[in-house]
Amino acid sequence: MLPLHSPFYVEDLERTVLQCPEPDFFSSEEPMDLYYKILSVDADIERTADVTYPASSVFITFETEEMQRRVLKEMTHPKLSKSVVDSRYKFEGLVLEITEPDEPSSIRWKDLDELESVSSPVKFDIFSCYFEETFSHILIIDTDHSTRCHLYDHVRAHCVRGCYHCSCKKQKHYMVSDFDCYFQLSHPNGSEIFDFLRVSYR
Amino acid sequence: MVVRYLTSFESHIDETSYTTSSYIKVTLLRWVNTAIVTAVISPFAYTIADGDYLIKSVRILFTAELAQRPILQLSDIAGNLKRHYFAPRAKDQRRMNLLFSTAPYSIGERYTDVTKLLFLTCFYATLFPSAWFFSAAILFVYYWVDKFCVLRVWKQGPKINGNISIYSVYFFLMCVITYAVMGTYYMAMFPFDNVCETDEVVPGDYVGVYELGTNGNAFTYVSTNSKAYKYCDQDLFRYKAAFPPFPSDQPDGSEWMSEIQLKFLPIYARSCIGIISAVGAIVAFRFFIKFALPLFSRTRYMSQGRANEEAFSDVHEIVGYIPHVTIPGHAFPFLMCDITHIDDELIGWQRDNVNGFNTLIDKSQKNRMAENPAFSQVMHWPPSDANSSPKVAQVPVPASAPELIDLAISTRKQKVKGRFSNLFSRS
Repeated sequence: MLPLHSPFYVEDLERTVLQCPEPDFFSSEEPMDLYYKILSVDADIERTADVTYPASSVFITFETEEMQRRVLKEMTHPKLSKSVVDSRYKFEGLVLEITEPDEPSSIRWKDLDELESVSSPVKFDIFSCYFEETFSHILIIDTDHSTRCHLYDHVRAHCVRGCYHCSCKKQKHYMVSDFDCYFQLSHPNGSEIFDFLRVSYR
Repeated sequence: MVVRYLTSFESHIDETSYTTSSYIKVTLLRWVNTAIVTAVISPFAYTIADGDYLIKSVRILFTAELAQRPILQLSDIAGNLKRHYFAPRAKDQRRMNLLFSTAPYSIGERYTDVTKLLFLTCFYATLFPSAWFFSAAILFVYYWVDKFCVLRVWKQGPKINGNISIYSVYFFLMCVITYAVMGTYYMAMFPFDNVCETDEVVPGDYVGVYELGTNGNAFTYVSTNSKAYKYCDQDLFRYKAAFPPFPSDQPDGSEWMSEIQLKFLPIYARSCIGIISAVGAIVAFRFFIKFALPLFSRTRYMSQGRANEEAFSDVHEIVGYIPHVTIPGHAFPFLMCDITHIDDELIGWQRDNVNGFNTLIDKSQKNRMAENPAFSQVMHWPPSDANSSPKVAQVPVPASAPELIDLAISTRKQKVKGRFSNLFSRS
């Protein structure tokens, strides 16, 4: 905290931080530590801002519900016959996946760039691990030693895969370009990301 | 908490999907921990015995459901502590405001409680018929407690759609199957004592008067004409694995079923098969409609009801799709887009009249963002503008938003905010 009655500089973060006294032994974080963290975050933002990112989802709000329904009706195609879709309904040759989204307060903006082909295996692995872990305890009560070990191995195999995916997901957000994992392999440059259009009437 | 942590690793495009995923996991966990494990760990021969055995455990479970959750929910211990003890001692206004904030209303949690109760009832109702009355009382209490909390305690959560109720239908159908299956097994395994009557009489050595129990207040007399009994395994569920159980599944020479059981068990068993088949057909039909039909049919979008004639710009209460992120430690979300060119009403909330909106975009970087939009872009063409042809709000979301936001969140959230807005405001 700044000393009482001393001037502080809104424009100059460093000068202000330098005025702060040294914290005592029990203080959680020093102002300078916080300052360096801010610099580090700024550097990360600078670095990531230099990369070009394609759009992952587009939300369109129509003036009337009639307009929204018309678009949904005209542009919703069977999944197996996308090749026969009229070219006027395509965006740069791409058939857009059009859905009616949830309310604005319900959208999870940080997860929108995840392709379904990427997120579904993760969900499956996490769920199967969870399911087996939950129900295996019941079976273990009534099984002999070898069956129990086999069961544990099976559960562990699933859980390890699930954890690996979890780790990938976490890393994806922190280390954009360096981490070579499932997600990066699935869509290395995001070139196929823009295939989703969410149409709503608000 | 475990489920919430696990689900946080999954990617869900909206809160409906996230809530549904948590709901399924929590429900399975509660079903297992409450009903199934209780049955599995109880010795078979003590299933309906007097004393501290299965029936008493089930009664305790129902009593706990009736009392525990309402007491915890109404007393709101953590909330009261935060509001009355920690909030007056908060170091600044922001932290005090946060302490007055409560948990949001979760429809998934409410559904989980109901499905768990229904499953518990269906699982034990044949053995413990008063489960239905307990269940009715608990649902009555839940209704009023939840109503009070929705109106007085919890804050409003995200507006999710009705998807979660569709999944609940599957859970309710599973409860119906559980009732049919468990009812059939309980009918078959009664009287749960692993004892079968033989045609022989007891040997002379056993004739006499015997004390029953440990307190010695009951006696029984074994006469020379008394029938002899032998051990027989009645657990058709675990060791015989007979499904559905019929009277013919009894081992030869070790039959224990009474005439009533012999008469009604086949009816129960066939009904059980019928119910499972019917539920299976319903589930298969629903899966076909949801997953198979969209592959080759154009009927993927079905409008419901008549289109609302009121225009978007005429209704001020409804808002636009404005990308934002909630950062722990802050009462209001942070915007992930430049809102210079849109109407503030589209955002739907405002921190206060003085400070406006929290935004993650540094004002000095706005021009650069315009050249290479790392954050989301929001466009608005109001209908009053005669020159603009499309009257739409458009929100493209670049893939970079998660990376940028998580970079910010990865360091101490409360401090990072200062870089973007008012670290030195001393408010």
